[in-house]
Amino acid sequence: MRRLKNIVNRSLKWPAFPSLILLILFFIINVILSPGFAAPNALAGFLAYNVPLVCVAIGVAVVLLTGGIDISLGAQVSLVNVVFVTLIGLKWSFMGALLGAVGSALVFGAINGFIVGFLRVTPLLTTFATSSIIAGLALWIMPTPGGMAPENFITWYSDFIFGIPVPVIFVVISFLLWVIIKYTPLGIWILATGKHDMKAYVSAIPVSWVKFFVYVFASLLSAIGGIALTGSVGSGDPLVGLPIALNAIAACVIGGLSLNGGYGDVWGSIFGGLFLGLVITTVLGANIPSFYQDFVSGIIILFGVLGASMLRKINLPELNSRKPQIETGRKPRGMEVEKIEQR
Amino acid sequence: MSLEIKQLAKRYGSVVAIRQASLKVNDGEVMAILGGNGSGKSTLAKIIGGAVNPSEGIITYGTEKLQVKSPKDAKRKGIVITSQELSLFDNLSVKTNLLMCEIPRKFGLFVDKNTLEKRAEGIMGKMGISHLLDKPTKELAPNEQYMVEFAKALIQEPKVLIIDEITSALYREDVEMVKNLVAELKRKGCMILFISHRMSEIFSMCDSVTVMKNGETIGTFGINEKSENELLSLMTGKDLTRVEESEVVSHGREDKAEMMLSIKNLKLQSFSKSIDLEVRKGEIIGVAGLQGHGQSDLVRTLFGLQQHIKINLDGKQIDITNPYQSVQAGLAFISGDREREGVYGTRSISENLRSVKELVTKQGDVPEEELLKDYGVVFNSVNQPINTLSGGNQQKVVIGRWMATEPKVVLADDPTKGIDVQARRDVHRILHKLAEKGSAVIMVSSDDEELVELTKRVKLAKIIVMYEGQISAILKGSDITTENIISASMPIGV
Amino acid sequence: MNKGKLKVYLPSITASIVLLIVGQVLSKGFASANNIGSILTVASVLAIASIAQTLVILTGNEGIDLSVGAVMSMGALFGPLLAGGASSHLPIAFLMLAVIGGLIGLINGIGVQFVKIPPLVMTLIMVSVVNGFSLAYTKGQPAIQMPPVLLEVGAKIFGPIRWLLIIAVIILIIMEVILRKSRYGRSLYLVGNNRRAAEIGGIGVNKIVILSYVLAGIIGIWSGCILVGYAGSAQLEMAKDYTLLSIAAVVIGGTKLTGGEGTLLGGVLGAIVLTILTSVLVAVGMPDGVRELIQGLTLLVILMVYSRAPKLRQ
Repeated sequence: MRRLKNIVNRSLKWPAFPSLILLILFFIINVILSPGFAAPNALAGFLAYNVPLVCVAIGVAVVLLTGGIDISLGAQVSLVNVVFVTLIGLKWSFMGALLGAVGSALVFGAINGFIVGFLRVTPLLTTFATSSIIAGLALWIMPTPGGMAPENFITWYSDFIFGIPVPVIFVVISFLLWVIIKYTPLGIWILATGKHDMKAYVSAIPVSWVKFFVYVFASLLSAIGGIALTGSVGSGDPLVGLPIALNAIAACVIGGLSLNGGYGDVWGSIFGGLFLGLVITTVLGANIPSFYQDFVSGIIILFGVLGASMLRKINLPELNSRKPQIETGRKPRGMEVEKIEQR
Repeated sequence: MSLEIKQLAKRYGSVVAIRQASLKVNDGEVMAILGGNGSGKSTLAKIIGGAVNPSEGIITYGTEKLQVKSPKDAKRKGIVITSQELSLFDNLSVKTNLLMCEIPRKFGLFVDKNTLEKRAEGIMGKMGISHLLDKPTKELAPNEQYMVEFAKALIQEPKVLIIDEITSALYREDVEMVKNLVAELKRKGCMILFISHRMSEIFSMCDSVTVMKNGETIGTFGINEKSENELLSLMTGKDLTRVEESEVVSHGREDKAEMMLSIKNLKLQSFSKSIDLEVRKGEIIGVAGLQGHGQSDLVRTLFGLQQHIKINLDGKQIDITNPYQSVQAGLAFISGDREREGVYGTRSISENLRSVKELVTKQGDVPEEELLKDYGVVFNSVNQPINTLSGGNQQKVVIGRWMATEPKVVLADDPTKGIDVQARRDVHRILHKLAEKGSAVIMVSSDDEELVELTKRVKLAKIIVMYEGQISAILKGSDITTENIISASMPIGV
Repeated sequence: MNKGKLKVYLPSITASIVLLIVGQVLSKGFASANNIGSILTVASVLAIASIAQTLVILTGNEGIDLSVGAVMSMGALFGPLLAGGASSHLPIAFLMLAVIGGLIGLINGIGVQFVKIPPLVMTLIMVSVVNGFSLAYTKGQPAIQMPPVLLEVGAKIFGPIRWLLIIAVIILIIMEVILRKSRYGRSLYLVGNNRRAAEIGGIGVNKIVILSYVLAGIIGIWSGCILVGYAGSAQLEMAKDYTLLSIAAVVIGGTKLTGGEGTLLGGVLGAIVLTILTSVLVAVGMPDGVRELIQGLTLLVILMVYSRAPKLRQ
């Protein structure tokens, strides 16, 4: 009984917990609304469509943990998609095109990381500017949607391996990459940097490199997401990734990651991403005319972020005050007895 | 081996932090660095620790020239600094914090959790604070945080250890512990630079003492060469050897003065007990106590910065939930943290001075030139940015901003922190003048001597000493001495 | 105004002149009075947008309004719509636009100030809400009748000077006076300079910040309506480029992204520089993607020069 209480207590304190509950709740709603949703094929379809968002969300989550932000990842997803399809169109081998596409994202990850980590420009605006550069580049390479991904790749992407949908493997790989980092000193450094970068520097942490690394890491994950997206869409589109930039950040906020850095669990970004995917699916499933879908999903994201932020404020009041707590174990000297008063 | 510093200087633009510093420490030597606020002690410590880049000067360690490129580089060379600016991360466990600077690894890649825990337990056990190991870092009390900070330094097995003011937040028994550990390090041949204000600690722990004043090292002396008063004179430049028996004005009877502010059952956030406080018109109240015992919370709460409170001000019952209301009601708040809570750095002196009276209380024009001259602020034009002034003058402008509104009660949280002696006196004079006009002043200071000085020449004054969020003593008249303040602010070693 | 403040404008003035010369070299007639007149007219819309952006950036604490472009697009659609194509209804339309724009700003401000969502995220979310709303309302087919008077904003008054330029100058003067003289404006600089100190100094920080977002919403939505008058026809998301451009303009004009320091005139000069740059790129015949790329690159370079946090090692 006490152990149960312990588990309950600990999960209540787990930052990703509210998003897990939301996810389960919305899943149940979906299954009730359309009973076919729980069928393996329908689920696989759902995942195929939403895996890119989840991969990018994991990348953003790691950046958020260092107290940074990256809004260029959506554009990077587009770039990966466009480069991959274009290279395939130029008769490159599959591996060659894959490496070329991933490499293009990593270059921009390195640029972001260098400017934020070493030149110490604010990450918001840096990635805002690079987002425009990357989007422009994608548009330059492929001015209008077109091209084709290799057909066997598209069929493989929607297939199962050992009963597991292939898209899930993309998420598992992404998450495992983070887990490896988490158990190296870098995992500790990321959290420390996010809490206070000057303190981290004084504690002999290579702060600039840590920041550089997380932007490159986020780019790697957005590249994985971009490849997954290509498998899902099947063709090239220079604007395909743009909505992901914002949705991934929203997913992290809903998943309980702090935008101020240092708090949260990467699990939250997965739950948050899947939750957003479910919401959009629900909106689509509710037969709302297509013109209203953007507005409705915008409103839902707005309320999701507002709600999650307010919940955090209630749950973690200490985030708002810098004051250390005082232990009141010891008694002060006898106040009545020794109070020094002038007679 | 020895560490020698020659002609070190540090300038931030036109601001000089260290003019000229030279000293030499040997293996197994504990050297105190003594100096007033802003004398450059902490900057010196940061330069040796690698966090700050010196503008000039040479540091030699043993026979070779030492160039510290970063804190990481310093740590590689065995130089560890543990400072009053805590470096603990409250989103990580105590154990992780301890090993932050050199995380043990296995397979050269992953964090070796077992070794980490073992080493953390080892050092904490040795210090007798194992009970803190599993406490969340953010729940550590201030003294506990400093002990963990110290443990974090010890675990790195330093060759050169710089202790920057960590003992001022510690309880007596903790200080004893630190003393023993320092003695042990000394036996091992570690050289230690000990920065502290507390004379008793310096005399009991150190072999030598280097005195700093206004960014310069005045000289290094054997610990037995100089008396406490001699050191103080060197530090302040005032001759304190001839102790002036202070002309204590007998404080007037307080019940004759009208009540200005009273509050009952005030419970400060994160403390369990409550406070009653009465302040008379024209009264100056000094608030003393060890860091983190609620002094600053008291004035901040009264100003509406922490919680919703009800106070009785000048005969009227009022509610205060935010500073806007308290300013309208006639309260003023002067923070010692000028940079963060006082000045609008890049805005002009004029804007800084007018900000409250014209924009908030809407009482009209501010006679700026007159006011600045009266306070002795040296300036070229009221349109120059305030951050071109010296720290003391900046603080005077901030104070002037409030004085222009003729506040009923001035709340001050260590307002003279980091400003020079002359400016400090000017601040006291301004506050005295205000009290003469019938306003009340409640001022917190981390410097007990300052409080004694502040309350000495006033008609109506007292000092309240706080401990764990409560008033542990009220001192009046001839009872106002630094000894009485200290004994009331520290718990007896139970 | 003293010398130090004039120095802030020097880079944008120099850049304008250099770009004009480059344009003249690359294509004859670029620096003619007529072309400069039309460049200034185009710059006017961006200038008004940059005024809105400046108000928010001045609030400090990473204050930034990424919804400017979306709000402008909305103004471009709803201005003519609300007027119903009749010039006589324009005043009412502008009033209603102010309510809508103000409301968007209010939501932004509340999200930022009370729920503590970082401004960038809050206003970015607002982009999808606003664009989504426009799409939902027009069903993707903005068939809009333009009120004739609105189309006049692009008409010449004398020489190369057009109404649009006059409107921009009037807005600039009014807002500059408000910032310098009013209690709101003076408090805004203090709030942006040191928010904590402003709070302790009794300034109603929440009020000031939220008011800035509201004003930015109103000015933004109006400038969108003016834009559509100049462009002659409305499209969905027609002003989305203005978000990035307005930020770049503000930064070029010497306004600090950390807040509390800068002038509206600076942003306006920045707008002129960027418009000349775009004109040069168009004159040389750069494709859309490259133009976006160069705009981003420009912003990035400006950021690296002007907006770096203090070094880790001092």
